[in-house]
Amino acid sequence: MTSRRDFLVHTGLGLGGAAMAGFVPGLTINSATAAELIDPLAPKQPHFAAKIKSVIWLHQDGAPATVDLFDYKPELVRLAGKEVPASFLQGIKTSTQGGVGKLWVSPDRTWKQYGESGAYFSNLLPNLAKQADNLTFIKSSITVGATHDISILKLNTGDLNPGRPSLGAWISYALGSANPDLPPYVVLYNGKSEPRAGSVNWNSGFLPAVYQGTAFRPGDSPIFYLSRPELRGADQQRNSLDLLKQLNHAGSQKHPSDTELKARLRSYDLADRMQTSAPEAVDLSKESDATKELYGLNDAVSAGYGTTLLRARRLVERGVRFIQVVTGEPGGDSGDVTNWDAHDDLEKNHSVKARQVDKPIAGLLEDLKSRGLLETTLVVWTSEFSRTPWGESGSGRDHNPWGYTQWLAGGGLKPGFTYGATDALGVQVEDKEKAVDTYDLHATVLQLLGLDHLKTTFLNNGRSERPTVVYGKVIKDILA
Amino acid sequence: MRKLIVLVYFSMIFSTAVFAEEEMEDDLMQNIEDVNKSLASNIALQRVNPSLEDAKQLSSMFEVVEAHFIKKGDAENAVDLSKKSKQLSVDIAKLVTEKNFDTATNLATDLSRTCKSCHTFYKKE
Repeated sequence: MTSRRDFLVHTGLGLGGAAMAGFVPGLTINSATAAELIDPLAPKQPHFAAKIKSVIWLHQDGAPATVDLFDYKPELVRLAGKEVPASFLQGIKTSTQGGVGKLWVSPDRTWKQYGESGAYFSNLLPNLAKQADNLTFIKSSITVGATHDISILKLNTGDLNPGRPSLGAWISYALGSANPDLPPYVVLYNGKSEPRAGSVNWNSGFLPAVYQGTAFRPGDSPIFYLSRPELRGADQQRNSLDLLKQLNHAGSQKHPSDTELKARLRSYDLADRMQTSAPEAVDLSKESDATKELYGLNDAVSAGYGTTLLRARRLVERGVRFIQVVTGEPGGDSGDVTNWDAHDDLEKNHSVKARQVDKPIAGLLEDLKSRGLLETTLVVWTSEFSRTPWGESGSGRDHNPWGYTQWLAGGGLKPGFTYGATDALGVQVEDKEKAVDTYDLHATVLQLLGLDHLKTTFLNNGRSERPTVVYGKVIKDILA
Repeated sequence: MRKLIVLVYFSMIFSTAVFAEEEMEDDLMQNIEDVNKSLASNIALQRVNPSLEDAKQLSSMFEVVEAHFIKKGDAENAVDLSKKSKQLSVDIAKLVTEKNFDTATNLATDLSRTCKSCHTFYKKE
């Protein structure tokens, strides 16, 4: 006999599901069914055919100077040492400490063109340069903000204030998980500490907590306390976990709308499976020496970052949807260089940082391609902003949100293609109609995953929210 | 002494009026931003009347913005962008009435970008 309480709970669950269906028009996924309330990470169909299955988001923390990496500016070289002509500063508000300095170029910088595309790369990226014809450049990137934490937040969540879901969380919400034994959204980093901008950058915001990113730590054990203690037998742990699962699920039926509880239960179930799946996913012992060298694991400076990228490839192979990789400290003899934020001594900073990432990223692209994975994977080189062509502190560069370069590689794109440009000195985007903001990059990533950013919505406190806030334009010109 | 007091008095009145005008501009911009977000949500939820209400509010507010920049002078860009924003609001209202929510969403996104363009040149930090 069903109790009155059971009847009311189950009726409420059904009514809640029906109500949600009415509140989410245009969302073709089946998010409103009671079954999905139980498993919010069940796989869901995109709006249209996807070109890619996974994204590897390579956040270059600290903001590298793309005028020292990808944007060859002969005019900058010619005018080095002179004041910035006033016409280049129109319409922007600078805040360089000490004022806008003279234009600066490193005496050690050289440039060459590579591949059939003829893309320019500086001497800092000899390995990535060989991948020229696999890259799709966006040379008209813009953003807002002059401080790292705020702009990193905008890069990942679309807002300057905490509270919005990250791009990876939206993707987890919209597509679910392709592998029940691993989280759909993983964050990787190298170095001793978590990325300084914090977990707010892989948070689920107002989306249910289950969609947040799972940070895998560097080292053999990616997650704390994943391994079974030696004092407990395997059968003993199995029996305990099975009983706990039964009790938890019985309890959750009394709280059908509690997404935090559902996330917790889902995470316990997932944690159970991840005891074997997560260490296996990040275990590089079966990778060949040739592969390890391809990723720069034989160089102390690049070994840490190379390890994260090799792990990223393995996670792609295992169906993880969104892998957010944040550059950490370089290893080996890297002095006091930590991130790309070179307000002074840029040559030393960028020499070390480029050495840290150049071979690993080139290796990742090469490896993905040789395994047939590049066609279904999107690799994104991105940063919170870039750096000014004028010098700061004599040998550094200040922040530049007004015009810089990012690139993508992988399925659904025109390889060897460049979209947009900055002006002759690399200060601002030349043609403002081609400016690509973070929302536009997000819209394009979602498009490649088969998602219409305008129709990927979630009802939050009566308001329909989408990943691109109220902005976003797919950069159709770069799509194949 | 009396003249000095009168001078100080009128200086305070004048600066208060200037400050009040600037303050009104900030409030107006915040209102536009809030109503714009409400509009995007209402269009996504296919709510005709609330969307119409938001679009009409925006159209009125952009008229105020346009008048402000005309009066300010030397702000042709801002005047043009205000006009464009007002027109987009009117077009959105029409589309919503016709229940063409997809096109309305696209225009609403254009409207948001138009706001951003103006901010690049004219938003106080």
